[in-house]
Formats: sequence, structure tokens, C-alpha cells
Amino acid sequence: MFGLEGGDVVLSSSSRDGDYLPEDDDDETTLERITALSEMFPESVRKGTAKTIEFMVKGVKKAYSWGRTGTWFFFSTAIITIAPVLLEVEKYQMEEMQKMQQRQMLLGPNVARS
Amino acid sequence: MGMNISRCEADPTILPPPPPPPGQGGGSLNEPPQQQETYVSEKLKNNPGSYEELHKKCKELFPLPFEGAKVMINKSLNQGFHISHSITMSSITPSGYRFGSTYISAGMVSPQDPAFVLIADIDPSANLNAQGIVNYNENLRFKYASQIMNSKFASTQLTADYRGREWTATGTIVNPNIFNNTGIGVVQFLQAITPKITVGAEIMLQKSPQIPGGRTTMLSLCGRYTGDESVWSGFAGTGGLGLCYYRRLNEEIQIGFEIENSIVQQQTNVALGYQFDLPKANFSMKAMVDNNWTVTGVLEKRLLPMPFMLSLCGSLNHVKSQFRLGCGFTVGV
Repeated sequence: MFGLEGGDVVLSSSSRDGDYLPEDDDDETTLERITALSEMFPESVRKGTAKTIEFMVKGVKKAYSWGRTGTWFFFSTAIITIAPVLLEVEKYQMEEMQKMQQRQMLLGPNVARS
Repeated sequence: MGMNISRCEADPTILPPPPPPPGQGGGSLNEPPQQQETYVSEKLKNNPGSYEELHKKCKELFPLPFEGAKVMINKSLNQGFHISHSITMSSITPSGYRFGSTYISAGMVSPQDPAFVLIADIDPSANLNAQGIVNYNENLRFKYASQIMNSKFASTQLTADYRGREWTATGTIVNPNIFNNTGIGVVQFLQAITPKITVGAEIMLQKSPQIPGGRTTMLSLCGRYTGDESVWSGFAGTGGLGLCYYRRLNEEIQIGFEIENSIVQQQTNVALGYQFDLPKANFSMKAMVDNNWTVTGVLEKRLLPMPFMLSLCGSLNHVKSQFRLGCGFTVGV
């Protein structure tokens, strides 16, 4: 039998296909492998992306908050200052139309509106 | 409403002149007879009016907010004698009852000026506001106003007003006290340079031991330009600056804009308001937005065929997030 000497490579039986790489056997969880993907990008790109996303999230929150305040301001102000006018004008026009209709019914359709 | 800084109100040591009693005040549906422009005498048709009324067209558009419930009953006992009972119920201003009366003399010195007018209102604690207006002839008018609070004269005011062809001169004394040598005197002069342009000046002298130096003087100039449908008016003086703009958009809507700056109170107020009238529907509405982020709206509606008038007032302060609702009901004219 021939003996093992230092420097000899022992091939185990799992190496059926030829592209077996010794690094595949390291103890690594999937999470660590995904985290390590971040090393694909340089530091400045990573930081820039993080800041942009943070900024966008904050921006959306602020925009929603301003939108709420603005909408509230606009509608409450409109209710106090304009709503009574619009409602009364509409009511008045409805009454005028009813009066016209009644006059038409009583006196016929060709009476000029006084 | 826009801040109404009259010289007498600027000083904290004196009380403002008595407010108009409830029978005479009121919205656009309640114009008292002497303010309507029915007849203007030939001699006085170029007269610019009085100094207090210079900014009136613009300030009239701004609503006066009120809070709580107010019921007022107006009765005419006679042709010249009107009385009013008013009850206010509110948690912010003290609730109470006020009795007001107005007497307009039957004798007239000119087709629109009665010989004298007496207006007063009083409440059960004997707090009285009284005003007397005597029209000597169509040019000269005297006014006396006083306020009694807690059994003491809180303020007295005596005014004399002369209207010439194209000018008006007014002299006023407020709270004169010969013994302490205190009081306020105001002299105002208003001249109509052209039928459209009016300028005026006012000097106020105040003597009081609380003022450093014993006395203080304030000078103020004012001007008004009346266009076809708009009125610009402004004032500038040691008390502050102000500018008012009024415009009538159509027969229903009038708008007004006002900027007022006061040096004494160290603040500036800006207000924008409008008034909407629909007399055929017996409806009138005034609304205003302020620089303090306060929105006020006052609505008045006559409920015919009975002589009732309903008024609603809402005032929302966005900054403090405070809303006040007022509701008033008036019976009688």
C-alpha cells in the first residue's frame, strides 16, 4: 500500500463533478451570505443609498402630515366662511324656480317673469 | 375684526369709549336711520365726513365675533322711543341682562339730523353706558358719552364736531379732571382736497401722572382716495401705520383688506374679509381671515314673516385650536 505524504490531496467520494471548491464547505449560514453581499458595493454607495431611502421615508411622512394639516385648514375655513353663502344661494335659487313653476301652472306657460 | 386702534384705546390707563348699545348695533340688516344716505344737503355734499368714519367702509365689513347665546328683544314704544332687552349667556364673557333705550327727538334741524338723540344701556349692577348727541344745526354737533362702572365714572367724553363745505373739524376731551390735571384732548381736522381725495391730521395730548414727563403727544396724518368702486385709506403717525382697501365687486359682494401696525402694542395685524348680501333672501354674511390664523364668520338671516333675526357666529383659531360658536336671536326690528 502506498502511504500518505504531506502535500498530497485527498479526494473524497463526494467529488462526483469536477467543479468542487474547498471553500463551499465553510460553516456559513444563509443570512451571513446575504449580508456579505453588501461587500459587493463600495462604502459610499451603501451610505448614499441608506441616506436617500431614509430621506424619502421622512419626506413621505412629512408630506402626509402637511397634507393633513392643509386639508383640515382649507376645509374648516371653507365651512366657516363660504358654506353658508353657497347653501343660501342654492336655497334661494330653488325657491325662485318653484315660484316660477307655480306661476306657470296657474297662469300658463307664456307669462313673462316679473 | 381688524384691530380698531383709536387713540383713546392705545393707552392702558384709560378705558375705551362706551360701546354702542345693543339696540343700535347689529349687522348690515339693522342700519340705524341716521346712517343711511337718504338725503345729503346741497351745502354739505362735498363734506368728507368725520375723522372716525374715514376707514369705516373697510372696517364695517369685518365681523364682530361673539360667543354664547344672545337673545335681544327690541320694541318701539313711540315713534322716537325704542327700548331693547338683551340677555347674554356665555361661559367666557359674564352672562347678564342689559336694558337699552334710544330716544330720537321729533324735531329736526335738517332733513336728516334730529335735534338730539339719547342712547343708554344699563345692567342690574348699575353699570351704565350713556351717549347724548345734540345737533345744533346741520353743521355743528355735540356729543357726550360716559360710562359708569362700579358706581364710579369710568370714562367721560365730550366731542364737538363742525362740518364745513369741504372740511370737518373735531375736538374731543376725554376724562377731564381739573383737580388732578389729567385728561386727554384730541383735535382732528379733515379736508377734502378734491371730491375723491381727503386728507386729515390729528393731534392728541394726554396729561397723566403715570406718564414719564407728565404728558405725551401723538400726531397722526391720514388720507383717503375714493375710486369708482374702491376706497383706499391709510394713516401714519407716531402711534403706528395703517392701510385699508375696500372694494365692491358686485351688488352682492364687497371685500376689504386691512393692515395695521401699532407701535404702542408692538404688533401688526393683517385682515382680509368680505361681506355677502342677499336682501331678497333676507340673508347677510360676513367673514374674515386674520394674521393670527383666526377665521371668523358671521351669518344673519331674517326669518320672515315674523320679525325675527337669527345670527350665528363661528370663530376658529387654528394655532390654538380653539373654536367658539355664538348664536343670537333678535325679536323686533
